[in-house]
Amino acid sequence: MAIHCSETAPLVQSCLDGELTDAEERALCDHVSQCGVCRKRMSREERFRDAIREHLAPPSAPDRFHEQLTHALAEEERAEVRARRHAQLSWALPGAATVAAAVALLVFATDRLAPANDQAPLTHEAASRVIGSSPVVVQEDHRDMSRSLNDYLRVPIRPPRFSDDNVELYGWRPSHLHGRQAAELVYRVFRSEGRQYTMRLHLLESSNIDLRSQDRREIGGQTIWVDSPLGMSSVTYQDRQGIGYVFISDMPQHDLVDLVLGSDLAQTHDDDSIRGRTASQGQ
Amino acid sequence: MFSRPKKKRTEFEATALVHLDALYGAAHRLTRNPRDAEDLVQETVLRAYRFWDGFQKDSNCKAWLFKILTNTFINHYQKQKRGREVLGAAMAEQEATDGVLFHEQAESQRDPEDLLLNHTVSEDVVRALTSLSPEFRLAVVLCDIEGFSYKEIAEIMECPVGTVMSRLYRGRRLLKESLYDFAVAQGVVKRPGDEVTHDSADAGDTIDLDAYRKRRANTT
Ligand SMILES: [Zn+2]
Repeated sequence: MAIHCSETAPLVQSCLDGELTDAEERALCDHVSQCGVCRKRMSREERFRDAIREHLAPPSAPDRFHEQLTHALAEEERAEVRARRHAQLSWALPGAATVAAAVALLVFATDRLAPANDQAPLTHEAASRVIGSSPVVVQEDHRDMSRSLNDYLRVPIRPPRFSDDNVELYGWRPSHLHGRQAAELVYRVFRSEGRQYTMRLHLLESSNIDLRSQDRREIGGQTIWVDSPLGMSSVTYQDRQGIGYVFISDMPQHDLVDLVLGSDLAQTHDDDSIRGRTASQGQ
Repeated sequence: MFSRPKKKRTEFEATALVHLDALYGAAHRLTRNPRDAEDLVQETVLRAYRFWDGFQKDSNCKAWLFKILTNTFINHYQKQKRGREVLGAAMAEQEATDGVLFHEQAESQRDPEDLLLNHTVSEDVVRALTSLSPEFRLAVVLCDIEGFSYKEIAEIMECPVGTVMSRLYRGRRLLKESLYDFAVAQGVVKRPGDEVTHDSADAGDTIDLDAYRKRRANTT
């Protein structure tokens, strides 16, 4: 079926980037072979694209840098071995000292995390979940979304509400963490100067799951964990019902922490809400 | 499971470090100087190494590494933005008011696009690229330098494929506009006329292939 001049704009770029289906490419070629205006436009785009690629061809990494990285990795490996040895020693201490040492370890020595169990921290798994994930289900009505989430997870879950107006729930998709069924909610967060972040919230029934990650923050009687897996920011929290909340975002860490603290997450348990305690602690 | 450190490092070096040149090249184009590029790549590689146990070994390692690079770049960009951007804006303003003089011999009758491409030097293109906001710059770098597919870019940048297309489209157009600005300032071309700014069939800022596909699906 023939295409019209007004339709070629979206096709030309995708064609030059090799993203059209065979049929689409044929349709575009047919049109271009008969239409001088579009032909000219396409060849102009092509020349520009070629010029850009040629001019932007970057240099390769200097040999010295290869060596530098190999050294840095070796150093990292030594640090890992040390941290692991340290962790084993600390956990092996008897009685109350074990608890104290364990807490100290988690609070102070977690720059390079040496987990007590044998699994990578949940946040790392959540952060690396993006590549190859299933598509996001977009549901306009938030009540429908709550319902389908509950059906899926089989535990009563309501997505948190944020006091920040610039957070928009975009959709959710099924996910797995530590081999357990989880739901991944996808939010968009709008900031000044047209900046936009993505925030993903993994919800899961998390009893018997280690939710600890890099930095422990005590806020009122509540504990949240803050980390930076894969260059992103994360906040982990577990509520009284044992529901785990794993927030992953590309926004700055303090911004994410503020956002979580500004949510109604723990406010359902009235007097010991995270937010309430933070406010009173800050005074 | 955590692998033994020695085995982990060997495996990491064999699987991930083969992408070092690609990472360095992209970092060089994103940051515009070798020092910052090295810092960005080193941080990316160390982060990747720390999280290597969490990486699913059968998935796309290059895309995974670029995801870390992208996030690290954006985080840094946020932190450094204030100081640098103020400086950058001041410089851009200076450049814009300097020497906007037309050479008499500016070959106005030739296709301005040809003139532009013939007179553009790599340094200008790199400078124009750096003037783009990080989202547009990343889209162009991932597509035009690294050759990632739209789908891979969408996964790396965590956005829908349609957004990748419009970021690329707008990024490339802004790039062209900057190049025109430089060329005009150097007297190589005159301020582009209607034939360039109002590209015949361009409809606004979006490039909606999805809409085209939906229309097609409905009519066939
Ligand atoms: Zn046409």
